[in-house]
Amino acid sequence: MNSNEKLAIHELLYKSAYGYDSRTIEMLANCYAEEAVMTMCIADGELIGPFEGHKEIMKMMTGAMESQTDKRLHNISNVFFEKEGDEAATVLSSLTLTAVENGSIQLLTTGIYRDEVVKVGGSWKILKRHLDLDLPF
Amino acid sequence: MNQGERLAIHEVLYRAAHGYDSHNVDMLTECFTKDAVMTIRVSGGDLIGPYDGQEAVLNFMKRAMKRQTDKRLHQISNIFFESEGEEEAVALSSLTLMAAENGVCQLLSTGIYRDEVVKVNGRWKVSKRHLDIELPV
Repeated sequence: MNSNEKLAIHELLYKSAYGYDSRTIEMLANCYAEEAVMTMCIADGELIGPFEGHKEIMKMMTGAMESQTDKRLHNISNVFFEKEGDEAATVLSSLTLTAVENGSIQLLTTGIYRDEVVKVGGSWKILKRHLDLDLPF
Repeated sequence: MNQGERLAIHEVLYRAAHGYDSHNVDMLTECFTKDAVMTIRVSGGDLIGPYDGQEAVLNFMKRAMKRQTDKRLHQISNIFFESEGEEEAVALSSLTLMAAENGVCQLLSTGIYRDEVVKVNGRWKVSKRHLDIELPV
């Protein structure tokens, strides 16, 4: 996989974070494939999900946004590839989640994303996302 | 050094961080050459190490892992190159170290890595690592 493709996948992860934090639903929605699946695990607890399909994932995310009154930042870092291909790849990245509210900033949690991404119509999209969070968000 | 090589070195630094945080000793081991050397300095104090050789470096890390009951995230950022070559390079990067335990996520320390990396059979590995860390962890 060449470096342009890798950087395009980095940007997909950053857009998905920014889309959530800025509540730009269209940007967030564009990051996921139609048949995307998402799961989560908090502090090595039980599996949450799977949320199956684009519609269900977006419903879960917009529901979470509505319950959050703070201003969040999903800081994505340490992006590296477990598998690389021309049309599909698996990428791991670290999450540092902070929130601002009432004049103070808090480190809410850290976590690791494992994303299976695929190329759809020339753009990379998330097909399968698993998030291991160290604390509830 | 082309963009692909630079990204490959970024990924080695991220893999070393993830290998440690996930206690994935195989992934961590793959990041260091057989003759790797590591030193640390905490808060500008005395030099800790050198840990000479991959086994000594890994043993030092495994002992540290065992002492730590929290869930750590070594967030690596601000990567830049002090020297660049086809087969060797020197990379500096920033560390933000966080830990989650008992429902709280904390910022533990910051630091700077200086890594000498070499290409071994087509893969970049760390041959000399020095960490200047601001606080004991």
